[in-house]
Amino acid sequence: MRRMPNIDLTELTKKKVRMLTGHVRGVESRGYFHLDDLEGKEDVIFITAPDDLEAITPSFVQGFFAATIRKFGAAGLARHYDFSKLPTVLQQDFQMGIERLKLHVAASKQA
Amino acid sequence: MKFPFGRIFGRQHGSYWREQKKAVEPGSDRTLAKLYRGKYRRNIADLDSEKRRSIAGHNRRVEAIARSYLKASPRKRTSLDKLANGTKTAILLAKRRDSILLDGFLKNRDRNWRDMATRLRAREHRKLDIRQFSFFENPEGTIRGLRDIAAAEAECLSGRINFLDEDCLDLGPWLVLAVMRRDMVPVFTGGSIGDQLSAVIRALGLSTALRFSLSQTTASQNEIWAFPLRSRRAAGSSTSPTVHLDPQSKEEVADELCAAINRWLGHGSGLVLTKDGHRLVLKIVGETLDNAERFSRPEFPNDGDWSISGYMRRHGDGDTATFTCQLAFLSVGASINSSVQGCDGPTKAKMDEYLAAHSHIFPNQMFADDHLRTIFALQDRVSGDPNAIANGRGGTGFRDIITLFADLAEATSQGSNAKLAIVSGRTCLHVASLYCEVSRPRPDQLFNIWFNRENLKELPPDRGSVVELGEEFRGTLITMLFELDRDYLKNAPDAQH
Repeated sequence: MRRMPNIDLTELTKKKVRMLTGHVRGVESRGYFHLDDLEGKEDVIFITAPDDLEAITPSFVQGFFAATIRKFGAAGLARHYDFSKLPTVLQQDFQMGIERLKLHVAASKQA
Repeated sequence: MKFPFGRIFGRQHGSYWREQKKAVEPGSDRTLAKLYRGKYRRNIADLDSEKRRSIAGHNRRVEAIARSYLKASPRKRTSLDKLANGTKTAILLAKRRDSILLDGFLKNRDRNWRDMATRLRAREHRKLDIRQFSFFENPEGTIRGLRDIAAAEAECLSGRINFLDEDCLDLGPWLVLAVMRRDMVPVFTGGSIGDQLSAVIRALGLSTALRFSLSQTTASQNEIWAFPLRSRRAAGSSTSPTVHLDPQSKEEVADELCAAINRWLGHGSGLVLTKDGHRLVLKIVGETLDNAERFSRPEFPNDGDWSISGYMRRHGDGDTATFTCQLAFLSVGASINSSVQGCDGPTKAKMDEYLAAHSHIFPNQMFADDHLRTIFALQDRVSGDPNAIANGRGGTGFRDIITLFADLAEATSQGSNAKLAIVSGRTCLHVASLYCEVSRPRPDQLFNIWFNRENLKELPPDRGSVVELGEEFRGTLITMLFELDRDYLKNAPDAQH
């Protein structure tokens, strides 16, 4: 059986920090996990996190997912990524960052 | 990592500070001249003739200064003679160091900075009295005080600074001074300092950064719980190819600050941050420091530096005790006004419209446009990084900072004791809690804060919220003060023991 791709955020925290923040950190992490390739090949990508990860800031999420929203839109992002393995609070953090990206998209369209 | 928890007691009156001793060889003026030659003379062997000429000129200048130390010695005593030989030697051997903050306070500092040999002839001693050192109550006086300190460093042989406030009114300017002192020649030999203020500086570990050797104080009942000074490594100094993939110091610092606040709350009321509160503080600190790293040093994109410190102090005893908390974030480099001018075209057009509509409300201010640009930069979707906006990301950093402050201001006993100042370039913004309330967005709303009661872009900002600074502050300082009330904390709806 084929293994579903999994983005493990432990590779970023290295068990040393309990939050992820930073716009550029988000952009570079996207490259590190080869999200552009994965999004082209895979149907669903799982995101997992270490138990001690407590928060992810909107700037990180924006850096991480801006390109996905641009390519596939919010609905496409929801199809490609499965956050269900994350604790509820981290799902909320991803949701908040994605909401801000959607605000950007809406504001850009208005402009 | 164990949280470095500082707790100390202050005394009532009569504290002083002295310049910390330098570990330089003590010696006579003859030794000093020799040390100076040894430190600055350059070897001209193995160089082509053009370079030799230039270095020979440099060496002649070094020799002249070294001789001037010898010539000066038989004359009347200088104020430096009272110092330990090591300190005197350190002062006289010192040279100008480039400094973003000092260069901002003094125009043409590189040309006007007097070398120590020149100062030895003029022998000027300057005494500075610093009062109301606070960007909340006295932004003009505070920036002038910092400027006077920078000027004395550039011109005098020696000086004293008397800090006349009894207590720390605002942590912000102390953070600025700590960063300035790194690049200052140690011409200031000491001065008086308020007892409670001295206690705060000691608790925060600022005395090392300030190079203050503080006198012993007798104990008072006021207690301080400190989040000691934290600074990121120097801007542009990263050598790691995976600098943004590695765990970040801002992520560690945010966690440490949460631990500090828990201790503060624990001492204030036996409470700790709720899970949500903990996450909120983590995110705010993360976003604030990320903003500083991204925009403070355009020459080192995404690798700027920052400093952060904070503390809580108890006033009074028992059930009537109140707890004053201060937090300050500093990034040195580009001001908000200058970094926002790198925004994309459409944003710039909107910003120019805003400037044209409201610059008339500051008729007597030379930097009205700077103030308005600084306000405009606080809005969502305004970023100095045009790529971020073009790619549909970024431009929301201040939203979180101001929302945090709104939450903290709400937690104060009266709400009126919460203060937030944003100091950058020529502008000092006082963010009243009222503006935070009217600007608080829903999650699906863009954040805008226009510094008027109606929170409308079409209306000008309230004049009282904008203060023009007489000197240029090269960087951004966010400083806040709020008061926690024991009863409020215990009765807070989401209080969690």
